[in-house]
Amino acid sequence: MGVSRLKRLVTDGISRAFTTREFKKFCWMIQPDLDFYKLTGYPLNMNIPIKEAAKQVIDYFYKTDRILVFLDLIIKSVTIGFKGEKVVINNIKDILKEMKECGYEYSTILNKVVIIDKQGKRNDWGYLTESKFYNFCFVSIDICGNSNLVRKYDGTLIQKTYANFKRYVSNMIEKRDGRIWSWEGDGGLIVFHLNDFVNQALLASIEIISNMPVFNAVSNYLDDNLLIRIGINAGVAEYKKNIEMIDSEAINEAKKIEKNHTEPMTISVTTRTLQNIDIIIRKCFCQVEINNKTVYQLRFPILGSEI
Amino acid sequence: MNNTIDIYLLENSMIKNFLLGLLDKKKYKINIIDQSKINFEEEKINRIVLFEEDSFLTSSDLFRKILECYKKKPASIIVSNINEVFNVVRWMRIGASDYLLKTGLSNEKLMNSIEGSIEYTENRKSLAKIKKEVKAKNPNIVLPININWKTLKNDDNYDLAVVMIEININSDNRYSKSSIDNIYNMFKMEINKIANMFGGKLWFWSNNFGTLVFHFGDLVNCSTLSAITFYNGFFQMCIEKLKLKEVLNFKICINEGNGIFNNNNTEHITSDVINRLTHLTRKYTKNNCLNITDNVYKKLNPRLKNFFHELGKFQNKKVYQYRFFNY
Repeated sequence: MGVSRLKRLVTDGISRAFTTREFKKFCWMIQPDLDFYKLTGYPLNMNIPIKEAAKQVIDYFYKTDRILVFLDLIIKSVTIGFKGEKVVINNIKDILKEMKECGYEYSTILNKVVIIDKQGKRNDWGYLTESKFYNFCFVSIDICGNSNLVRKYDGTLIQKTYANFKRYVSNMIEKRDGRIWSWEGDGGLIVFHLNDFVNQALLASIEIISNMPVFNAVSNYLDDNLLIRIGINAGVAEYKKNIEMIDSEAINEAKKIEKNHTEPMTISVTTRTLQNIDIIIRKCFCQVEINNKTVYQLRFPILGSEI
Repeated sequence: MNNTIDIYLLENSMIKNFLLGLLDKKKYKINIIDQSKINFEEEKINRIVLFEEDSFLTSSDLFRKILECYKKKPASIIVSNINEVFNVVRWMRIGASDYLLKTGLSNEKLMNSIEGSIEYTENRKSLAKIKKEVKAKNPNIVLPININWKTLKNDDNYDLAVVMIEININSDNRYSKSSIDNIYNMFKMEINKIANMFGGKLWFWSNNFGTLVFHFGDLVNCSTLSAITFYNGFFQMCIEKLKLKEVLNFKICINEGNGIFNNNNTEHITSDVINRLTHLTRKYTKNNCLNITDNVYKKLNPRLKNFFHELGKFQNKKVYQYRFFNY
């Protein structure tokens, strides 16, 4: 069971599917300068048996944290093909099953091997790599007039209401594969990365604002209605496991437009973000100038007659 | 103000004199009680208790019993040798207001603890109490759970809140007849989901037009919440769920009153509530509007009332219209 069984299964599968020569080409897709002789210790004038080569290479990729990339390539070569030919690995089902035991899973949405987290949804969607740049859509969300509410109401009521609000936001964004990267009581930063992530971010935000009357009526313990504002900006960021360390222009821009250029119960997006929005939804935005900056604002409710 | 401190000491206590030295005798009177000689029959009225613990296992039952003797729950401070967080938590959970370690205890710490404990005990409110207070001012709407519509008998009169929805596709021949049927059918499913969410049910649906009925729980507020959810989410329903290329038009109205319920044959529903609602929807309500009758408005939760403004009169009764956060 576990990693050693997974390694054994992969070694078996590979040794039946490839010759050593084919396997070398396969591995060079991951590391072009990989020296099989150096890795296995075989003299240069000998042929390396495929089983030995596979075993050493898998150990090597495991030690160098590239086992996910390797497994990913194997599964893709079976499902899509490798260099124009589908590879037949007889025990692929056993490999996939054992991967799950080890905490890995092939995501059909992403077409990638991802890490499964039994505790909950991972901030890196199970596959983002440290220090690599990715495209994200950042949603900055905030409760308007938080300071006044905190001064006016008992701490317990505030805590309880804000906790409900966080749960409410989580429900709305997680069904669209969004993740909360940071949360500071009265709001936070939500990130979308998968699929059509800009539209997903926008639809989640629309749903959050649209359902606020119901949230206020059912889950808000304060006398005042909670009013929120949302700023959206799509852009690039360098991923870091320690989310707090991620510093990006795009994140700052999302926070900035939410804080300074958004009215209560509206969504503001930047020009760059607007270009990535579905044309039907794009029609609903109006160009406004708030605090000397042009943003595109979505006001509610969005009705057919107004588009 | 009763400023007597009841100090419950262990039988072989070594801190009696030490504690007496720390306490401000001008401000507080002191009543020392040996833990082995407590009279549980006597009702106690003092509001501060200092309790010397031996260990949680041996002392917690005694502590609980002592607290029960007090007319009003006192500020109770545990004095202990055990420097472990889990022990503090255990004592707090059974009602202690503060926990002091014998080592390093000073006059300042003790007096701060006593004053803090009194304030904590006297001002403490349970969350349930707080919720109750808030509910009195601006109550939250509680959605009904475990609803069984089969408990309603056919042809009996019941209090009902009825929501009528009409969806209109602009007739520019953009859609084929089967597409239109499909669209209406999908709307029916989405509307059914919304009704279920708020404890209602889809009573009947015919092409582009149907009614939801609410009977259980806070029927007026639940029906209004379902209508608001439909109203605010209509855009998303069209674009995201039905994948349409345009946002359609709709009308939605709510009325409340007494009606004859018929679970199976909706044609048998005879009620003035529905009659008036149909006229209100068809004759008075404009596209993309949510209107409610006077009956509904009167019973609305104050929080929801804020979303409605008076629109005018229909059949000599006031009609109110929904407005999203006063825009």
